Amino acid sequence: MEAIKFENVYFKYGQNEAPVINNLSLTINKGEYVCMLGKNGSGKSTIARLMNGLLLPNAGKVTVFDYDTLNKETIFEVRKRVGMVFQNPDNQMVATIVEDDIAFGPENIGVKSSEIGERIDFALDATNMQKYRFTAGQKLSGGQKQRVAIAGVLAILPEVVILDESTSMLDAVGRKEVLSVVKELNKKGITVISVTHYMDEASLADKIYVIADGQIAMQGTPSEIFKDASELTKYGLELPKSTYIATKLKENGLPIRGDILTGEELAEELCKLFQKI
Amino acid sequence: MLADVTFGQYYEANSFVHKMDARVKLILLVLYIVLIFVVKNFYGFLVVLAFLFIATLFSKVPILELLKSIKGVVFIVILTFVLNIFFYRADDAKVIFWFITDKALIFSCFMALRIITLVLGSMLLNLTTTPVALTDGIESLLKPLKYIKFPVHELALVMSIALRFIPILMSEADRIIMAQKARGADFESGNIFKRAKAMIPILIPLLISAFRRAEELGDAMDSRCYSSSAVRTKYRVMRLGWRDLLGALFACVCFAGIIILNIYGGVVS
Ligand SMILES: Nc1ncnc2c1ncn2[C@@H]1O[C@H](COP(=O)(O)OP(=O)(O)O)[C@@H](O)[C@H]1O
Ligand SMILES: [Mg+2]
Repeated sequence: MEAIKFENVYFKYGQNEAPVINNLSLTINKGEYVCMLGKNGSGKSTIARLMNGLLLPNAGKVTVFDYDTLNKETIFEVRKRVGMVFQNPDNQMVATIVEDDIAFGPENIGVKSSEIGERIDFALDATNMQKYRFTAGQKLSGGQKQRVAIAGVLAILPEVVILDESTSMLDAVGRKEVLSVVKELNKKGITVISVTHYMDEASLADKIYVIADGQIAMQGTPSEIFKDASELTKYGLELPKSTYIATKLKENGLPIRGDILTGEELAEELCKLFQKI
Repeated sequence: MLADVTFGQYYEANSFVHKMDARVKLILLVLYIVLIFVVKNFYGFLVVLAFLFIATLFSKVPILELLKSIKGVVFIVILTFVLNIFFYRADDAKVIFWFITDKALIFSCFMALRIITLVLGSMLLNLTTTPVALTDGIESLLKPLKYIKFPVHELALVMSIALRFIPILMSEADRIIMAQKARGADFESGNIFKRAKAMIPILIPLLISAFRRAEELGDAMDSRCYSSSAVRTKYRVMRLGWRDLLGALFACVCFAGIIILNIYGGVVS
């Protein structure tokens, strides 16, 4: 089933400015884990904001579960289905206390008071933040704040969660926490669209879009995308660490697989090699 | 310092007064403040003090903790006292010492007492109610103003967002100050104008950052289906309980006592 569909979308920020998004068409299916890669300023955030009607296309059409984002009457149907987590963990909480913040979304869409408590429970469970229900957001670590932001989105029971560089301000621990939560969500059937600069995260995705100048420059599975390092560098990207090491080893004559994506795969391959020796 | 703003002066305890509804406490505080400015004799003040004392006992807030709040207003109290002693004039006043009249002395004492009891009463509310509950309470009490198109919910949301961003902006200001100091900025020397001017390199980056944050927060709120026109529900349902009834009853008895004493106890000031 199609979750989000772009048809020949154009978008520009100002009347007299050049379009930032140029004739973009893409389809994201329900349940997919999609990563968007690309240089700063390539248009990733703009695409993300077009996906839940924060921005509207100047030409073309964006449909979210068959709702056109241009239709003002159904814009909340769109936003209920597509939740968005932003970059800065400090700028997304509305309320001081974690549970009040998570309640914000359900309150907005008119969920009954008695039911909001259950939704908070559910969202805290899904993000592994049950312990911090009554904590002030200010006292949490960056990774915890982002998990609260995800919980705040989950309480609306979305079908799609977009993360726009949501891990870029976190340390390694925080990033891991957030990623594991996101992976779990995807396993439960939530469509995940993640804008990221971390190739190791991208290697976990079902599908990768490389964006350049508001258009799709490359698309495919991680192993397809990371096959060709020279093309990637054109778009300001590099290989995941493990893939990079594997290609270098191969270049230097080691008989190793070229399509390695994760550290585990690399370790496994190296072990196999050593056993042969 | 950060926790100070988030929880205000909130003193965590599990007491009768803590559990009372914020709305009831707010209304009682307003009545209390009106009354301490109406009180005309010492008997009335005795009841005010007794009320305050009993309320404090039932709040489990240590009396010392409450008295600490006077520290901040000592200067104002002394100033009011001195000014009143100098400038209070009454026709039938007797001079008791130098130029000080008996009426002026009594009136000054009353004014000092009024400020002190006002601060203590308000502080008791702050100590026993979280800022979140206070915001909710104010929103709920102001609800009737909706009929004259007063944006009650927006006001409450603004208060709650301000509450949340004050600590963030404060630590950001700290960071900017350090960054500017590292570049050789001097905030400490010179006259007041020079120092005020030195604040500009702090205020402008802070303002820009605040706007950027506001923009991102706005996007986050929109993404979570916020719309000021939609019918919103509320997670925290405020319910009146037996404590509110009992507390209000007790307060009303005290307040009635003050009014009666005010009428029949004579006018001292
Ligand atoms: N609010 C805005 N007003 C004007 N131009 C903008 C705005 N936001 C982004 N842009 C421009 O649009 C382009 C794409 O930006 P963006 O979508 O944020 O890229 P990315 O998220 O990939 O870094 C950039 O050239 C940027 O300068
Ligand atoms: Mg971006």
